[in-house]
Amino acid sequence: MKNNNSKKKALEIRDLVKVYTDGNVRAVDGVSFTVHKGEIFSLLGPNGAGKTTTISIAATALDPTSGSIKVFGYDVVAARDEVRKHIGICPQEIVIYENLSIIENVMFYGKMYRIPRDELLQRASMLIRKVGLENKRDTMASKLSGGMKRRLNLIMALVSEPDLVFMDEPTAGLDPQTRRLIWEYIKGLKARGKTVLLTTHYMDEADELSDRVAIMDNGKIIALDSPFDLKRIHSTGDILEFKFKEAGAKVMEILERLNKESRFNKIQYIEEDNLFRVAITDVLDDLTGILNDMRDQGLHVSNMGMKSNTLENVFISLTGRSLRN
Amino acid sequence: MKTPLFWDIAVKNLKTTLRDKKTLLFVILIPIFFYTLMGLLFGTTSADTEGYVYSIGFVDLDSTSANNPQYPNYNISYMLEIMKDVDSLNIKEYITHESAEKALNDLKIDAFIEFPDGFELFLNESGDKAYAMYDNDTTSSSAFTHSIDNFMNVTGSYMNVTNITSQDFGTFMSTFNESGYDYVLLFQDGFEAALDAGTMANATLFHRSEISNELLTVEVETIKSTMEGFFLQVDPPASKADIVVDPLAAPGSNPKPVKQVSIFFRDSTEQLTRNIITATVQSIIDGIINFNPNEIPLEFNEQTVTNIEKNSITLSGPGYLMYGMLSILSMATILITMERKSGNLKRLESTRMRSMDMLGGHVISNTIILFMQFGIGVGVLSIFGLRVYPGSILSLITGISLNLVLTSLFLNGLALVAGTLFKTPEASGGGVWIFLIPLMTFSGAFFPLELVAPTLVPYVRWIPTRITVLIFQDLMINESTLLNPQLWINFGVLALFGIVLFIIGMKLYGRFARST
Repeated sequence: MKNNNSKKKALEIRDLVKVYTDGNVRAVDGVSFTVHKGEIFSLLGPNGAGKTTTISIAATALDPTSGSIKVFGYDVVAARDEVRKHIGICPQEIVIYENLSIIENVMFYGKMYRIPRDELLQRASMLIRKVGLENKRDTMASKLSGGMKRRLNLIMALVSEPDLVFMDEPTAGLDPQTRRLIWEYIKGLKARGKTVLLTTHYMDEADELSDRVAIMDNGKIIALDSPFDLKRIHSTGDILEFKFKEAGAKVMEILERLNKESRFNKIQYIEEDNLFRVAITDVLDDLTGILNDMRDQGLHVSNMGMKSNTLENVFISLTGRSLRN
Repeated sequence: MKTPLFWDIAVKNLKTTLRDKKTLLFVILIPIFFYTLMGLLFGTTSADTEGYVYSIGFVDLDSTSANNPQYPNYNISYMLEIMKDVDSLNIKEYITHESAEKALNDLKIDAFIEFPDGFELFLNESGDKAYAMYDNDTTSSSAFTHSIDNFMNVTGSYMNVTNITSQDFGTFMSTFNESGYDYVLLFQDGFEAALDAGTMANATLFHRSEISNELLTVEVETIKSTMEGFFLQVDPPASKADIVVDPLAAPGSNPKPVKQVSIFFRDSTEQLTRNIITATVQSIIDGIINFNPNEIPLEFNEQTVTNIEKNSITLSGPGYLMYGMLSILSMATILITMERKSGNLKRLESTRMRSMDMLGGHVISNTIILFMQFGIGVGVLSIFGLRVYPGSILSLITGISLNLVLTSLFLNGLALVAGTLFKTPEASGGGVWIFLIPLMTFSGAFFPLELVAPTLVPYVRWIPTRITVLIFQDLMINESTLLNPQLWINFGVLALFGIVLFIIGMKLYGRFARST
């Protein structure tokens, strides 16, 4: 059933719950969010957060336990066939037929969308060319490198020219060069008015590509905003890491004294590394002043490092643990 | 141009299957190895005919009796007893033509001979030759032993002699073919006077055409010595007379009708083997019949029992074919679970493909492979002697195609059930043997259906793949056509199994495809 009020909504998820009965696992627990047309929307979270399950349900490959999902106004359960006309999915695993060539794989998936053969051949050739696989067009997938397979995996999702593309960890395990290539392609999709729902556990990927990011943990969305606002609102800022020649107790006393002026958002001492970590908003604006103050207070820096404010900081701030954990 | 999705899926399945070396090994090469092994073990090329004792069926259809104490060798039962003593033959007696033919088809005998009705009567009549004698002599002798009339009377007491002098000779000879006589002895004019004078006394022996020179010479000498024994037995001058018997084929005469003994072979029997058996049997029977000097022509009518071939590989072939075809079950089960494990099933579930397309694709690709399997199996087994004897070519092609389609439906249905139960390719590869072992064992894949213990038959008779083999047997060996109602009963049962299993499989597959 089409809901005309959702003209600008590519995807609308309300109170989505998915419970796997065999393990009694609540993989998705009351998730709600909306993805707008032409937007790149990322689901960011650690493994097991429920990202893939959410995408699978939205892509009609799984049935929800409860809640509603609409794609361009069509309910994914009641109007499954209609939904499938508009979507493409690039799974997290490389899902290709090893005994088919690149062109055969792409053509086969195109046929599953009932695209006429001539048009399909044109599209497949164009996609293969765009991801730099034209020289391997007739090579069996089994003989491709991991990066090539990943690119093939991606274009198989795009051959139907879907309005909404689900990409589940599309660059997992790829070399930086191929990651960049795929990022550029994803940006190109947005430029053509396509909507992309991305899951990733790469912070830089979500930061670089996304208009908005939803951070998931334990089946729930714990934050949703643009990367800039997420960092602004939820993060403690940039991180400076110091090692000092002086003893730890003395250093801590001086740093806390300096912090009486609310200079630092947070001070942390990691004793085993003799490492001091201070969180500061917009550190580059005041880095020279901070170093001067420390010197004036009698502290001698033996080593220093800096980490920019990232979405990982946001996740740590929200959950108390790293994404990788 | 858009093709149906199920067809695209079938093409994809065929490509991925036929390009996969492990699958090829499993589905094509191992069955070929199996067929070759069975062919070498049970095929006709392994037969050794050296020193072979031929088994010959013996059928006596004669209701007449020679009833001739002088010639017991004219009795067929006598011939049977003699033949049983021949070391190079193993004689088996059959009451009817049909029972002998069945034994021939079942490879119990190599050939059978059949004596027609009236054979003993024919021997009796042929052995006791009939002579007509015509006295054309106008001279007359007063001596008893120079009288033609007396000669006819005396020889008539121990030979089958008829005096036809009272008839018109020309008229008699015109009906010679139908007369039943073997010879006509014509005493030429002046015969008795010549005996009195001790000069040349002439007679002509008319015989039927196509008589052998050897036989004719014997016959002329026999008649001449008989005449000399009577006419020249007294003192000279008669004893100095010279009796001349000139043989002459009766104008327009035919050979006397001969009762033929039939000898039947399977149509696969080589001509050399046929010649050996025919010559052996004919020489034995000829020797028995023609033990006495009366030469009776004996003819063998060689016949072939056509359209039936049942060497052991032919009999067992349809069952062996199930071995390769049943590998489809394993392949299909693994393919279904592999599709799920690889993530392709989930990915395809988000396209516009429906489950029916997927299942239809599997059925079509597996059916095509099943046809390939069947063709390869028949091809390999043919090398080892498998022969096909159809009721009609149309029935054979149509029936086998239908049988393969229905069998494929059943196997695909079972694969769906098995795949959804076992869930993973690894579990399926092993678990599917739960189904394969009974299906193979009771469907003739390892040994002929007929060897299944009779007590088990009521329980296993409805095993679908066994029905498949029964249909193959009917179409390929038993000359059944599609008009045979039993075939349609079997088709119906097979279809029922296939449809029911497929529906159950579809229900299970729906849940299977949409679960993780």
